[in-house]
Amino acid sequence: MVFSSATFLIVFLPLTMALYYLLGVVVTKSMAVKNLILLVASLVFYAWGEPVYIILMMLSIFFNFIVGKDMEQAKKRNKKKKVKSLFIFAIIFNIGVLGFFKYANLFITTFAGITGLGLRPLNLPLPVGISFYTFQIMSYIIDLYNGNIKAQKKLFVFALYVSLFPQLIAGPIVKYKDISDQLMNRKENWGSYSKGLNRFIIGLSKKLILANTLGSIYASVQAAGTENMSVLTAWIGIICYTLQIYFDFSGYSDMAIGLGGVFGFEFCENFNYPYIAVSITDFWRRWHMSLSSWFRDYVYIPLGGNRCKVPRVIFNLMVVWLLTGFWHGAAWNFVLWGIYYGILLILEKYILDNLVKRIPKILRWLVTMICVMIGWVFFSAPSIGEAFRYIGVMFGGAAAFADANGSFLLTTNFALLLIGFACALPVYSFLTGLLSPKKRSRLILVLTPLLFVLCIVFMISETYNPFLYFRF
Amino acid sequence: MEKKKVTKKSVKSRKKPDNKDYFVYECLSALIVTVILFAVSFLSLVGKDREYSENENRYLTAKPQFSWSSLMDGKFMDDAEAYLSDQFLLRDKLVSLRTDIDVFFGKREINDVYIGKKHFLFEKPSVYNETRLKKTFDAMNNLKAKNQGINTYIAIAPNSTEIVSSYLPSNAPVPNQAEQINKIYQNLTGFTPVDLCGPLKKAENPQDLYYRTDHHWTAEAVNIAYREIAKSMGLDPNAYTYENLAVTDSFQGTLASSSGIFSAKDTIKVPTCPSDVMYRVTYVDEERVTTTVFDQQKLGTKSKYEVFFGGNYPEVVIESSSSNDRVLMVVKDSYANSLIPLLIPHYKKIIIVDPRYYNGNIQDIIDTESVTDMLWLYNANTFLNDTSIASKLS
Repeated sequence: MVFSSATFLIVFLPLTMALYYLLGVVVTKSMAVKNLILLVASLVFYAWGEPVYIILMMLSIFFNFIVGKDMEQAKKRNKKKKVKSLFIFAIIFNIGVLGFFKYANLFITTFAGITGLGLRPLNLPLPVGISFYTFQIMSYIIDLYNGNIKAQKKLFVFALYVSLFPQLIAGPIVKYKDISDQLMNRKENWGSYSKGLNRFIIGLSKKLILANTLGSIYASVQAAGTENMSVLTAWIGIICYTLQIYFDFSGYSDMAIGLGGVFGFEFCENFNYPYIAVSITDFWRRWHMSLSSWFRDYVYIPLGGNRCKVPRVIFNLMVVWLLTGFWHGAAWNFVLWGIYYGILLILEKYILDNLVKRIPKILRWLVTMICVMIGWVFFSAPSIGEAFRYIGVMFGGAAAFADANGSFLLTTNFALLLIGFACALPVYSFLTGLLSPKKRSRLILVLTPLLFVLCIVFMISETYNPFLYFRF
Repeated sequence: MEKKKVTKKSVKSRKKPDNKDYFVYECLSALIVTVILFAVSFLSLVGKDREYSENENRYLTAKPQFSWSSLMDGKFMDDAEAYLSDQFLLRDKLVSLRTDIDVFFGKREINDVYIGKKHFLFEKPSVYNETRLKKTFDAMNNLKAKNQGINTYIAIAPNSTEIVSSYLPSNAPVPNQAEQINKIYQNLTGFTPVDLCGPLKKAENPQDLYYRTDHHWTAEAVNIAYREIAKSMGLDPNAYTYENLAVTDSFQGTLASSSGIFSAKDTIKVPTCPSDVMYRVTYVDEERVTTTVFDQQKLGTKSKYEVFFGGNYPEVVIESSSSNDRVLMVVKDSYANSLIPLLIPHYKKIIIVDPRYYNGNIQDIIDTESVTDMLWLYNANTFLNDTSIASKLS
């Protein structure tokens, strides 16, 4: 199930909220009941989209729960070898499951392509959210091994941690150590409920009103192909995609954080206006922060981080970025995208550092944004070749600078693009900062309910599907 | 100890906003959202289901039937989602509100429909695809070569983007259809081309030549085209007098449906037949015979343009009481449906073939009927996209 669906908004969410608050908070006042309601809701949420793969997730939960318990037992008895072998076993299992379901096809087709063997891909569909929940589970196992946390004693609480529906399928990647207290002790209150619900509506609006609309423009640009594309069209296309992916992803995180608040949780932030970044390093401190922090804590720092000699740091960085690229999708253009960022970050760190400081901020921002947009071309293109052709068009390798298509796209979507820019940059908080505190407070009273109604309008109208009787 | 920490935190988050007002209004707005959420949910679940949508011209999804197999393959979930959104309260109103919002913010293209000035909607024009058209040209030239004795004419009607261009949204990318049509004519050998672009462009009120909500041409355009075609084919366009009668003023066609913009209504006019000409219409595959080319029942449906011939059929034969003994074959798309009625008195027999639906070989009809004249009548968008001509002639 996704948050922006009729099933979720009309049936699932009201039902879960009503059960949670009536049965859990008002009637029984029991943490166990509240957790049980959330667990059942989360499993239904997942099974709704993945009626088969839910078994995989449950197996994964069960396995890691047992291993965690065993590890703690062995630790108490000071059996270091057993702890280590259990740890390695668990890591191999988790990476193995992720690798098999996510990457097997890619490896088989690539291997067959190189060797010329007639191997057939497995064509297994990717289990939704597997990249996210596997990383959450691994944070539990690694922190347990390092002695940062205690093992979870209750299976259903551990299951709730892994499957908690607000962040189950698209993050943020919440580490067990950050949330273990909240699983057992949290108090719902008006503050977190209303903050959360408002945040959820903001996220829903980002997804339904902005991301989907901008996405359809990029889709039409991409569908027309690079052959007759003008420079103007290419730039409009990639700007739309740049905005779309931010609103889509950060909108999903907003919805997750907001829903967490509705049920009394406080999740980590995931985005912090990434498009005001003035360097690539800055960008990655603002984009998908929970993933960067995961890789920092569990890959980069264990490898030695930046407390080693330069060649080793470069190696560490490249490993992290190769993995980051790979994590985003099972295709070689994601790997290329990761390597691209690895190289940019190393350049920034060691070569451009002094130069960059002398450039005016606005110029640094512009260069950063262009680098980010080029990155998105790799990310969104159907193949690496197509990505390079698209970049070629962007930088002048086209028949025309502007054509009728480009100017029509620009004039008919101008307002949408402006709204997109305003929402991706901190324009709202700047403008409301000009208002008196009283007026600023009242604005939210109008804004969120209005956005919610608009979201419903956009969600329903997207399913408009006329049957065309005589299309001739 | 842990409990203490949590309560401290919750107190903090209560005090956190820089002023009390903000907290109060945030709570109030969350309360309103909660009320909307539950109200929408309640109303959707108790609301009465609609079976059919006029605007979308389709049956709406009904309440899905539960079964384990549909649950396991996910069909139940898809159906439930479709059911909830199809039966959402005020669905049609929400859709039209959405298009209003889109248009307000400058959007001028929805579902391949250009939203023009003064409620004029345009079908997004087709492109000239050399490889696809090469096949069509080869097939048509071949047929002509095999049937040298038949007078063959081709008339490609331009679409509204070419003729009513002043109503197009600013900057809308449209090809030059006059050029496209000329290129088509140049690629056909032995065909007598009929120029429709020129005369239609010269019309006094070009905006009356096409429906605002549908991709077809109107009776006014048909009159102009008829005179041009008749002149080319050596017929006297003044031999018979026709009158156009309005049969409906509430036509909202394909372009309105595709875009979801139902702000205008069109009038459909049909020509009266000269009273001294009788005719019989045979729908060959359907084995149905009538005495009229009009299907009045279609005026009660959404597809009101189908009042002409009841829509598109593979093969229709019209036999008339005309004293002329010539036999005309028309190979066509739906633009021809409103023009053919005017040709009836000029021919003893008219055989109408629509290659998109006809499954036989056109040569077979030519061989059995003694066809003397042949007219290819298409609109540019359909002809440019067509793949059926090549396959039905080979």
